[in-house]
Amino acid sequence: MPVKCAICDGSAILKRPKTGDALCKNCFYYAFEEEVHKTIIDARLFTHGETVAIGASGGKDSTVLAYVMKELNDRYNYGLDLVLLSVDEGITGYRDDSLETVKRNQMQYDLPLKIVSYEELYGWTMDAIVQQIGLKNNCTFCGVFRRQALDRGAMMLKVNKIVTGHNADDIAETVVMNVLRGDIGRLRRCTAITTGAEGSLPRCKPFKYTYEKEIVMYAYFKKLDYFSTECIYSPNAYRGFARAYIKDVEKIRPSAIIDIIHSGESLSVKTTVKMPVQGNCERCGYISSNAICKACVLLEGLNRGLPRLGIGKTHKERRKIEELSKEGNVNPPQSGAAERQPTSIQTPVLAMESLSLDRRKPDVSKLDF
Amino acid sequence: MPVTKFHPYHGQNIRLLHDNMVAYRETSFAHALTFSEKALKPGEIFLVEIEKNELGWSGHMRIGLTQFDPSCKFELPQYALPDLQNMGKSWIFAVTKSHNKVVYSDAGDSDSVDREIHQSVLGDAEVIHTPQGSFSRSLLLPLRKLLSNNYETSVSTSSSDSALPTDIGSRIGIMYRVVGDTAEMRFIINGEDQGPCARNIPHQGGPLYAVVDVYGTTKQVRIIQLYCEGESDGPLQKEKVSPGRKCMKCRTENAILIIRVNDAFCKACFMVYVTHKFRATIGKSKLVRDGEKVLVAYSGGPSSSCLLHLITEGLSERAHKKLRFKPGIIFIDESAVLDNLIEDGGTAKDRIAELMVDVGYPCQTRRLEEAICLDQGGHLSEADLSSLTESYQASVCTSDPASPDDNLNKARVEIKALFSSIKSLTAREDMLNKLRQRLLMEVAHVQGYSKVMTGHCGTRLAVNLLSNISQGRGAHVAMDTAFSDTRYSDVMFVRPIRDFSSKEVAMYNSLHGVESVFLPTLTTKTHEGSSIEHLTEAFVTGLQTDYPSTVSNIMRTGEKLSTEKRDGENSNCALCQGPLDTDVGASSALNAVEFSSLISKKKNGRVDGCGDSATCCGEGDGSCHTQSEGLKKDEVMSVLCYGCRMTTKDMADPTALPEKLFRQISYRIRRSKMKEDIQDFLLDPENS
Repeated sequence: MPVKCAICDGSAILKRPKTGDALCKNCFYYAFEEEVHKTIIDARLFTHGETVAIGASGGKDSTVLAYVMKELNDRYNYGLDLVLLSVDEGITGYRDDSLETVKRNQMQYDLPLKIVSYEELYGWTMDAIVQQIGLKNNCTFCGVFRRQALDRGAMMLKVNKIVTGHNADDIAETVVMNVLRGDIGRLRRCTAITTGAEGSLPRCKPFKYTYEKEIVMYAYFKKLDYFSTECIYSPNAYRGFARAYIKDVEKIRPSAIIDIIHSGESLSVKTTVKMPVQGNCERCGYISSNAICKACVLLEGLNRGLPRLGIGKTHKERRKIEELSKEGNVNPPQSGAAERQPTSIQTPVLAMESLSLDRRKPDVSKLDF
Repeated sequence: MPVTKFHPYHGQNIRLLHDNMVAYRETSFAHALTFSEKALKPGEIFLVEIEKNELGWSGHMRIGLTQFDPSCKFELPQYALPDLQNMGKSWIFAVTKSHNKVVYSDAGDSDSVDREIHQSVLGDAEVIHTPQGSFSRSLLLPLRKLLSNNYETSVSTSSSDSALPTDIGSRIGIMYRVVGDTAEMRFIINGEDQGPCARNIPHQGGPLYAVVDVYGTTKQVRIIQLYCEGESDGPLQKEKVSPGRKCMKCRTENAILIIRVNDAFCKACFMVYVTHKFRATIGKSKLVRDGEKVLVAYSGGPSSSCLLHLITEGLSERAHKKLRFKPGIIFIDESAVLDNLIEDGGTAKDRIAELMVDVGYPCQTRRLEEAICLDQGGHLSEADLSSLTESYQASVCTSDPASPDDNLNKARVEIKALFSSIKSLTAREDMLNKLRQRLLMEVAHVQGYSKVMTGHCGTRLAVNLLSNISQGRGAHVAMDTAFSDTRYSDVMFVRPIRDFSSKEVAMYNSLHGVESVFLPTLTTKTHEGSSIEHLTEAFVTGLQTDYPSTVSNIMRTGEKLSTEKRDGENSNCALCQGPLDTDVGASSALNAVEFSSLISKKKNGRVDGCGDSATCCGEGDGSCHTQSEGLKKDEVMSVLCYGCRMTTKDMADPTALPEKLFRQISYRIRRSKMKEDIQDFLLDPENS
């Protein structure tokens, strides 16, 4: 006996992973899109006339995000100018292929596309970095650099906001991981739908409450073209444990993903706990918890042939920089911005100037928040 | 014969492993002198095997005898050759790839004695006899030679064998034998006596220790036990654990256990450490006052048995600083909700009752069904306590002497029905926890206990924290893992062994001979993924094995979180008493999930039988049948926190809660309606 769709009484072809309801294809699209729309409206993510960059990797989340954003923008008249923004990490056999997908998406959805590469921003491709650091810890570089690269690309495009394809599973996984690591600062931040204070562009996650499985389902039935290969450098990272746990919990109770996000949202941090204060990097002006941002430290390490400089415990890192500063080449992070010495090595500051962009401070006044 | 070991005094680059039977040079090629723990006796062979080599150095292991006593901790030279040799009283030779037959010549003319035929000290027999004992000749051979099946021939023709004395697996022995007034030293390399290499050793001048310099390419050597049976073939111990170490605290006693990563403790120091941790946790909180009545929750399991033992020790006269609270012990019999324990449950429970009585403080056994037993609260007196200690069967609903069993049996049926109506094991476990908590609170309240002590250890709390997060109870995790839980107005729950790991609990119990009783739980004998709590337990303990900081990291997270306790009757969950976390904005997980379930249903025209949307339970399929009960699902849900909503969602009918809970919920709902009605006339909302 064919199962009936819970909404229209037509014949259902799928069971929603999130609620367990049997739905037909069109009613599933309807429910999926309405939910994203509601998330956008409830959280007041956008205002009319904004330019919004969609972080596009070519993977399932960002492909579906681009499609749905365009749909909803037209249907509900958000009045947004959408652009696609991709980061080219320089990973042969992975990113070059997925960027092809993004380029196809660009044509299908008729959206402008901007690609920024690690090579032009930092002077290093991931392939080159992996040659230096090996397969362990290379994700630290990639993650830190990508976060900045997306912002810098967005500033070049002069957009107001960035949307990323982070889904509910990703957020639940981050909550669990931050609990396991005892990282209270990130634990508090990671469930926010919009992140980024002054100094960096706001980023939002319209898929915050959307299940990964439903995203795949949506792409599958809509026949959306996406690239699904694991990064060739992806290691057996700590995050993998959290991911496996989330998947197992979801099997026991499908609502657990949202439950974990609810838990994350309702955590309140003791007022006595010292939280990291976010400031700006002395070198490149990018938002940072330390005097010099992680990207600059990592880059400094790479350029000096000490690729492990930014890896590991903070105090060790600081000690290493202090040792270097004794040789008279680098400013210790504590020394303050005043006594910056010119270095012969290409720092991010120089790299940015070569792109004729002001890396110190994004021109916030021109942007309409 | 005892085990032959290396002396704990050795060169600075040496690390001793495997109960001091392995010497490993951590770095460099120098400062790697090691000695035998005891002086060698005449004829005793001290045999080592090369386990690891490090390329890039020139030269190999040196071996010999010395009369310097390592126990005197004399200043060690860098090398055995030539430094130690030059200090005198030492006879040392380098092991080389070949030419190990260094024949000692006191005449200085080596050629004349070079070809002297010596008799092997080993003889020709398969079993080699020495004054210290006998052993098989095969022990002197490298393992590889034994495995190659031709060791018969290799014994006699080892020089032609391709394996070099300096290779990994090579076994090199040193011994001396008395010849007249002096002794001569001999090498035995891979089963072959190399002949005398030093003569005229004044062995009567002082004991002779074997000395091994783990020099050059030789990186690690192991002592082969010749006189201690079975030792060499035993399973290898874990690399990190080296039980021969001294206690890191007192540095005199031998350590007997390792806590955390590599901290070795002796028994006395461990006890001081654990007891201090327990006392400090209570002391720092400044919450438990002198003479206060404290109810100790005892389940028979290892953690609560440990807690009980710590308390009895702390209260005993011999305790250094006596604890000053007054404990009473309670055991909760949960057999009503467990189907699988009936056969053996009886004897285990009897044992628990005996153990409680043995402790000598007021004790009682209660049944879980009392948590929902209607007339239970309010009437227990002190006098009941003595009868309660005798037998748990007598300890039921004493408020109604005429029909205590009736009430209880009714409650038993009711609680069984409740649990069978809950579909998922996760929700059952959660409900059990909440009911147990309720019962403890009520008993404490009625009997005038102001505190309840539970035996949650750190590992358990870490598991609870993560599993609570996965069940949407993020708002309560701080309460659930902190030292004190103040969600109930007049009874405080405290967790004095929250800083203990489950390993420390097990060590404490084993060293003190503390007995614990096994009782099955809901998830006993179920698979890993049977409930969220069960899964989380497997996840956390599994991670803890590889990442030993997991539990403390999770606990640290919990410590940084807070739960602001809100006042007022309507701000707490009716089931778990935790603060309500459902008052959230439009952009929230709760709102999103409600919208999701709404949107995948019919947009308009609800299913027949449920009427218009105002009275519908939200399910929209007519399943709620709420009208007759007088309470709607929405209303029940409105007084529950997010986590308890999840639990009740797994019930066949969320309004089918036990009557007692149901009454409380209806009361809450009536009160809030009353308040709504008079809201406009209340001057200060806080005064309501």
